[in-house]
Amino acid sequence: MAESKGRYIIEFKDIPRGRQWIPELPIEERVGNFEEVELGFDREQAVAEARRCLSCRRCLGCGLCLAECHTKAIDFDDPDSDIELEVGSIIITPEVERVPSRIEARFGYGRYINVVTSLEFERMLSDSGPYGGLVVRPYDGEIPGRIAFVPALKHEDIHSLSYAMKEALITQSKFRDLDISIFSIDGIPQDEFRRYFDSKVSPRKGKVLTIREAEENKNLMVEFVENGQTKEEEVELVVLLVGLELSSGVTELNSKLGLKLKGRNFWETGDTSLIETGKSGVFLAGYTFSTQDHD
Amino acid sequence: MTGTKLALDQARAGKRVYLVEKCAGLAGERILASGNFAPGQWFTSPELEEIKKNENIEVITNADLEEAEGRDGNFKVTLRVRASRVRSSRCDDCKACIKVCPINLWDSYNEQLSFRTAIDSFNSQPNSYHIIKEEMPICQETCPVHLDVRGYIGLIADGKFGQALDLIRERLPFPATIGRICPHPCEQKCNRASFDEPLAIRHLKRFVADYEMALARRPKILTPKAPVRHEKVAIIGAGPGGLTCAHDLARLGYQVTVFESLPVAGGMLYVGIPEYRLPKKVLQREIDSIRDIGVEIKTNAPIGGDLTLNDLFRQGFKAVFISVGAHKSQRLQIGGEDAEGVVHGVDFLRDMNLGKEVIVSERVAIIGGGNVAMDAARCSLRLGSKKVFILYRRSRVEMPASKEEIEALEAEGIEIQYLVAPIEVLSDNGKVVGLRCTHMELGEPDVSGRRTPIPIKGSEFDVELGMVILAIGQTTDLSFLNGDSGIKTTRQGTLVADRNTLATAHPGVFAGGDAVTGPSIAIEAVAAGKRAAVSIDKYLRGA
Repeated sequence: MAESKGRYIIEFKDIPRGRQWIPELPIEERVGNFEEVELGFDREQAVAEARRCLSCRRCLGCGLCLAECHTKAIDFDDPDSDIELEVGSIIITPEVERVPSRIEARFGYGRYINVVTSLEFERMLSDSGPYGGLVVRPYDGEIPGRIAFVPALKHEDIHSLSYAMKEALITQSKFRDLDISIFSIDGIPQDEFRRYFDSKVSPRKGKVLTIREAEENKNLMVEFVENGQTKEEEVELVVLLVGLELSSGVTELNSKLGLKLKGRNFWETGDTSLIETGKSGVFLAGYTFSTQDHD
Repeated sequence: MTGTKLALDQARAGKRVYLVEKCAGLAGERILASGNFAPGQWFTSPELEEIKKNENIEVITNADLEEAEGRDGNFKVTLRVRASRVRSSRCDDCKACIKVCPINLWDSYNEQLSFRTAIDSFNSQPNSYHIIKEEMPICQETCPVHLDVRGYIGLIADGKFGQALDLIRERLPFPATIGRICPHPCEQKCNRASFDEPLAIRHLKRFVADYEMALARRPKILTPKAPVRHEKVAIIGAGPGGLTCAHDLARLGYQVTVFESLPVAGGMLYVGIPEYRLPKKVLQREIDSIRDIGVEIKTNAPIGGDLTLNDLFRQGFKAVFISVGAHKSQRLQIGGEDAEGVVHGVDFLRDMNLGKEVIVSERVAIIGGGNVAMDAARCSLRLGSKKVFILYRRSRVEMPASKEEIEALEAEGIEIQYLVAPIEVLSDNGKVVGLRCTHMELGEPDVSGRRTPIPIKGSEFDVELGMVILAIGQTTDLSFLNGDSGIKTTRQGTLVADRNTLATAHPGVFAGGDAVTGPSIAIEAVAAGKRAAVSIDKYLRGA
């Protein structure tokens, strides 16, 4: 399960909040000897620290659902099972994930609350998504008046642009009053752009340097270079166009199938043509590789 | 979406298709239970609807690929299907379970924008409820040895310190040692970090180990679980990997002898880590507990000279685990490197830890950014240097040393100069008097993903000092192989061993730890030792 990013949020009032810090030998006592520096928890500290553990394992087996289920459908002892299949060929449409740590710090992701990734934005747009299809600012839950799409990849390519345009199209069709800026280094030809978009959507040609947050309203200042001039634009929500990577589960798949799949920066194309993998009878489909890191 | 489209393509072409998905529902859409449609008429995408109707497609959710054998045209695929723990035939979709579930998880399907409960329902068919329950929490999964962190922390919270220690010792014979020196990858992944601070997992492990020591209790001897076996196993190198392997094999009933070239057991734990981070008596006590379960540790017993690898087999050892570590310092390849007063970090630490007299000058420079450099710097200060500084050619972001070490050393008054590299050792009458350095800037990332430092022309400057400690990396001393043992080595000077079994090309010889991976952390060596013990046991039982 790709659940490693999951985290609990329940706060138990009786659980100590802050971390216990370990006592240390004072700095002035460390010269001229090799006395141990870290001195260890005492009993009270150890127990207090241990009680902070969230005991993560998803279901805790508390049995509340079991007690509540009037049709007796819940079976905690339901075992995993193995299935054997005989097949002629295997097609892999690999799992991909976004890796937030690969987003450069200058885009402010993780620091500024109203900077979201394209994946988060896509979930917002989905009618079955977290907000029933509404696009909202994480800061105040308001529908933003102006959005910027900013490529956050080392190498911008055609897929990131068409991805931005796709999301912008859906956004435009849902929220007529929204202003959208799409940033790209090479720019989008105006005539082509106007075939799809009305005047509320503007292409911006130029490299985005940094994104800063305005203290008072958590709006974002996008600083970019257009035609050799440094400009700034204020928006209410920034959508970073991020690439995808093959998920870490692929390593396991590789060893089980004897493959060598790896790579970053994918775009899902929905293209159903099959790609050979180097092992006959095993195919790959569904993703296009961008310019780097694949074999 | 590609998977569902492909499945339809193939099914339309008349093929039988198994659509296997690891999540509980098919990707693309998850329909909220509050949808406007009556049960049985759930609207998803046209593709998903067609998949449900198409008789040539069988959907298998919650499944992982376990094994695939065979070739093109004839594969045998084994799938492991995770239990849903909810019988859909009985479920009437009342959602009472979702309402009472006390667990709130960030919903990874919705990119952490909302929450879900540990029991939830997914699309495709009505009543496809399931309970998310993982085999292990993230700390345990991250730990190379897969210690049951949640388990022992729970016991500590209940005040059951002895039981907590027993639980740790099930998988780790060095709780007090690892509890002091581990860079704790588990804490980096701790879910509590997104809330306030991660759990102090390392300190808790140390606490229960120290608690036992403070009570002067003997370490609980873990007697062999299995019947006594008569096969003899030799282990080369008494570091964390070798000793763990010895410990595990002894518990399986094997007769184990460890050959150590140094006069002490412990490997880098003894000769690489200074006393102020790991007191020798703490380490010694844990090594003794391994001796107590019947492991013979021979010190001053190098392999390669009078006793070769093949001699071990002639002496009746049926299997060998090589865990010699990486103790050979790399050279800097600059002028004046052989001057008096230029020493290597690992040699410096080894001499000091073995109790030899080590003299430092008033001003000392350490070259390098790893933990050896940090240890050498903090030791120099303790040995009486007045001014200690570290020169590192990249910036702090790329520095491999652990954050805690860097902070501790800066607090002690050691200065780190970033983006500085030495170009020549300046000497007078063969003795070091200074170092010529250059400022660096960062270029494109190299193979390790770190940005390559490039010298800035004309930025050279001289530093006056009396001692230079080089700590720019270690390799394995391969001389013990005598070149003819049938064990392959890489160009980087590491041993070649199978990633999973740790088997080398020489039958019966296994290798792991730093000697295979290059310098890494102790707990990784422990993990390799455990893996080797499993492989050797399988090998000796002919399994």
